[in-house]
Amino acid sequence: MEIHPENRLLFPAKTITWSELLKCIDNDLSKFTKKKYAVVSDSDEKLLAYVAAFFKKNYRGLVTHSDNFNENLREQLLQQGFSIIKIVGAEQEFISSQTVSKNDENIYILTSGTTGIPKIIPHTWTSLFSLRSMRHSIPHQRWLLTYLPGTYAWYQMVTMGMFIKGQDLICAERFTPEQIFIAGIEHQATSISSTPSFWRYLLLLLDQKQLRSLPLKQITLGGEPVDQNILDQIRDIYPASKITHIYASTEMGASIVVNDGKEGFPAAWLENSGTNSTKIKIINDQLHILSKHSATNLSDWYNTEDIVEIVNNRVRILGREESGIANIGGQKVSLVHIQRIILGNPMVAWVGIVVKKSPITGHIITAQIVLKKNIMPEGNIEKILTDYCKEKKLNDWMIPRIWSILDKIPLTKNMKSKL
Amino acid sequence: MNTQKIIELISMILEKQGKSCNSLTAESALRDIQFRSLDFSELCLRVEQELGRELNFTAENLRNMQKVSDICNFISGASK
Repeated sequence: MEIHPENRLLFPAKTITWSELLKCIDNDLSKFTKKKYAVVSDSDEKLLAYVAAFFKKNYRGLVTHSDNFNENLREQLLQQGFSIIKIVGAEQEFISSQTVSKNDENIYILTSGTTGIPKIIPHTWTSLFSLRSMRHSIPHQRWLLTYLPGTYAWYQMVTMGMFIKGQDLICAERFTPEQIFIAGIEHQATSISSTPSFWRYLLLLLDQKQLRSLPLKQITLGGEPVDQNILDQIRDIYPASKITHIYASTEMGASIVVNDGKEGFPAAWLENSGTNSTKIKIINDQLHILSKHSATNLSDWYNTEDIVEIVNNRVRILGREESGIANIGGQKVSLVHIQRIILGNPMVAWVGIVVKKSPITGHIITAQIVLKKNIMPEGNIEKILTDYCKEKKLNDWMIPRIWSILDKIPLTKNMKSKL
Repeated sequence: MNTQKIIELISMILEKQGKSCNSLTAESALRDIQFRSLDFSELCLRVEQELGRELNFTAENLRNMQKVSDICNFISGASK
């Protein structure tokens, strides 16, 4: 692998190549003698520069946006041998770790996973560069970067921009989906990789004409369960685009790649042991993966803890056992299944399912919804949606009992639904 | 929370579930109006949301209730 020096990074105020980016921090790096760093910054440009430097100089480390940085993380990083370079605005701070770290070749990914407590997952450049086998067949593209710096999904885009010729990256340095999309229009993005929630948010705010002002060739979805509803909505706007959805995790990497326009993946992939780089099996309704793109400390079959079901020869992912499956009065309920049904209602732009504690049944299902633009329901919206759920044969204990109407979709900075 | 408000909430819950509530009064038997466990659970959550705090609803309390007035008395007492 080598960095293609003329691939470009398109920022709001300037366009720069990787070779120019590296030159900008040569002076910074000459000051440091440690080999393992955590770089914390509010500047995408700085974070990208340090990622390139990690590769060129064979440093080990991680990068993260300064919004993610707090005292707990600071202590965790120092204890694990990361010296911290903090660049926020015009201020720079260097904190040397006194811990002797073991020699390794890892690039580290910070993830909160399902617990909200940061985990540091070791990868290599090889495991992060999951598109390596396709590097000669990907046409020139301008990718709009939507993910938070330092996350696994961000590295998927960045390694493409670094190692595959002709892949430019548009770095919006803005946080809302509409601001990011505008940056894409300004730089004429040809491709976007983001979450279903990112697209639901955009579909709510922008009309078809505005969305089509960007004639996208490639749309990739991941980071959250991808349902047929969102695939169909995106296809409707971009009939000529290639639409891909990917099942990935920080631990397992990009494991399952689907291009056929349908949710889930073919059940035949279980029998044929998946793809060249991934093997898939189901044990006790849970998805297990053996992947070549996994973190360095995971070399065996990995239980994703995602519950799956097979419907019409498609394997559909229903959600995590501990967060995606609820117990309502003794009945197991998939929150993703409920979400999928409700999203089929033409009035609904987004729904978040929230399980609340309650007496007798233990828990009940409630929902937060965002209605599509210009929707004026005739009658009580809770009754309308309750009746809809009954028409779709949702069992009583699965139908949300309280419906809260939100003005906009609550998104994290990594473009995932906050619920 | 007064009796009238609680009856309004029960009526709303029943109507949303497509159950008849035309003759709903404090003396209505819960079995007759088909007010079931999920309906109870929803009512408890809505009352807590209205009051802005958790109340001590237990399955044992609710198991002894036969009429709408039993619910109203319990909630009125618990919310003081």
